[in-house]
Amino acid sequence: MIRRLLAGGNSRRLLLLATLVLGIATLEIRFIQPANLRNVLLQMSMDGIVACGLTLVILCGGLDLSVGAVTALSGVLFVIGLPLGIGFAGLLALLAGAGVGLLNGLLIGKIKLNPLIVTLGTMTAVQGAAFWLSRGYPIPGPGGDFEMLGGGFFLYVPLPVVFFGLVILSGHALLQHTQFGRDLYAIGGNREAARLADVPLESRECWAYVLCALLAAFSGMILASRLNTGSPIIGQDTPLQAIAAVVLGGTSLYGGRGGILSTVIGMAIIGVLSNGLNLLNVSPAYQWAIKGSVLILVAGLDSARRHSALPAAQTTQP
Amino acid sequence: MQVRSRFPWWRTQKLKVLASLIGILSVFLIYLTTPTFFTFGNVINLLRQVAINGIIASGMTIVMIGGGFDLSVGAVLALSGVLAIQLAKTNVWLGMLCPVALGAGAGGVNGILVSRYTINPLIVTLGSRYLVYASANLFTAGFIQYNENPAFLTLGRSSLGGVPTPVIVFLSVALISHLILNHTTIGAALFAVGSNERAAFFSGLPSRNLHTLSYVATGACAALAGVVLASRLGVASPDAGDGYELDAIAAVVIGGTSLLGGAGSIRQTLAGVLLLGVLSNLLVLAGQPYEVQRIATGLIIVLAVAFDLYRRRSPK
Repeated sequence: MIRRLLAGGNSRRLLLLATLVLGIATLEIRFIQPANLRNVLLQMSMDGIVACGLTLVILCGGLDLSVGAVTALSGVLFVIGLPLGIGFAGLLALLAGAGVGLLNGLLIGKIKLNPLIVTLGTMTAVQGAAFWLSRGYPIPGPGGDFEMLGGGFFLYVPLPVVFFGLVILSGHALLQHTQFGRDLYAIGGNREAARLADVPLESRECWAYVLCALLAAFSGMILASRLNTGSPIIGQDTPLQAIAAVVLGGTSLYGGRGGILSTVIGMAIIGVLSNGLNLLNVSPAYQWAIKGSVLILVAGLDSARRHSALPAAQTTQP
Repeated sequence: MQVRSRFPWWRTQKLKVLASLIGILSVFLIYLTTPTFFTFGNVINLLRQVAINGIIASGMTIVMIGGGFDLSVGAVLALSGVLAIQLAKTNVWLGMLCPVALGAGAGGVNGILVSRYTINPLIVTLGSRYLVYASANLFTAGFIQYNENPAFLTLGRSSLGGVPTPVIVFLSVALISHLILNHTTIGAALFAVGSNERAAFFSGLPSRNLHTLSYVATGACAALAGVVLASRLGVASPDAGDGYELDAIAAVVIGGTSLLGGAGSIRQTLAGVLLLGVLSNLLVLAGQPYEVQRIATGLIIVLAVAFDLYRRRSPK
């Protein structure tokens, strides 16, 4: 795991991250206080869990725009289902997420529809469902135990961070040490070769979408618990944020290259930047400008390394 | 000599027959349930509602035929809106033309990054989306901008012979895009670049420049939509554009333009824009809330791609 963390493009990105941390800490010493570092981790946990799920989908050459809508739907269901018991409500939220993922997976994996369009469609429909269930208003939660999932601690570490850590570890193990994970790389790297090597394309892709949606639903539950509200309007910017984190980490949008650890580094760069710029009193507009530039710059440097030997332009599809 | 198909006519033309049947049936059903739909006022209203999305979607069709993609159109719309409102305070023409030029410029930067530096269009336009939103917010310091100057509001609120000006702008943009795509060498070359970029490059087509041009067209269209919207509302917000990019992509895709490039047409996109417009108009007339519209739109998008795939696989 450590070796992989330092491999290839990851080391360059870790260098960038370290430079950022050092730079921000020099300008604003409060940044490296333990309480603030804990905050940074907490802030990136929810989007980070979504980004980890999205990594699986992007690795096998797909894309999922519906993750944000799933976050909203599962948060609303989690609060609405509470009268039936907290465990049942959580199960309901996760099942709804898995259902959306299964629908995406079947339409994309089995029927071979374009992932961008399918998930654009399910995103719109699921957003509608979240609005319909909540009548368009945020639903307040009951507080108390309900707030444990997002506000609790385990040995001074906030629970969302613990969950994020568990997702990273299991995701990494899944991708690097199981047949399923290796197959995802194979599918994303060369679909035709994977098919000839008897990789069960349809079920692998389908499962990738189910896992992605499950993680998005889980993140939605944590967020609902942390805010003590089930809100239908959260998560509208989540898909783009998560894609930015995945790409910033170095996972290729064409599939086959990257990994969970890369995504974590990408997420950390975004998290450190957001928190640091906030501490430095940089206005949100400049923050967007900086994030946008960093995204294009990192992707541009990657592409320059890849294409330095190729003569023709090779722009291809998302 | 006509080559006879191996299949009888009702099998080869199955989809056309089916589509016309569904069309006639739905027109009949609409007439029975919501007769107000077919009034002149409502049709004009419908066209006015789809004009903004139609202008953006025309540009999106051009970039997608070239094999590209643009997520920054919503942000460009927001920026050009606030810019138009502010500049129109000094000179109305400046307020209408300057934002369009700026949108074309933003599109050009996208295009150069995508084609010269070979970065994935999704990432480039995601990044430029942040950058353009940032500049819109910096330009206005985050505040909503007003301009109630009647001269500026003409573009959005006047009408010519009963047809609102935004609709005329929309139809002209669609017509011009159609002519460029289907009746000029640039259009033909763009189709070639979209269907096989390497082959086009090795055939001596300036594939990079064509790519860049397609992004310029998209940026200009999005900016024009922003100007029209600002002139219709008299108000523009620097955060206004969210969701426009996905609506435009949905319309293009429902029309049947391929995400892989090289195929598609403005006519199909118009059909997609109108279908989405009619759907939301009908649901509003039927008194259905916003969320039902969202669900229905989502289902229509998925059904449209499934139908498109079915059509391509069925016997020719």
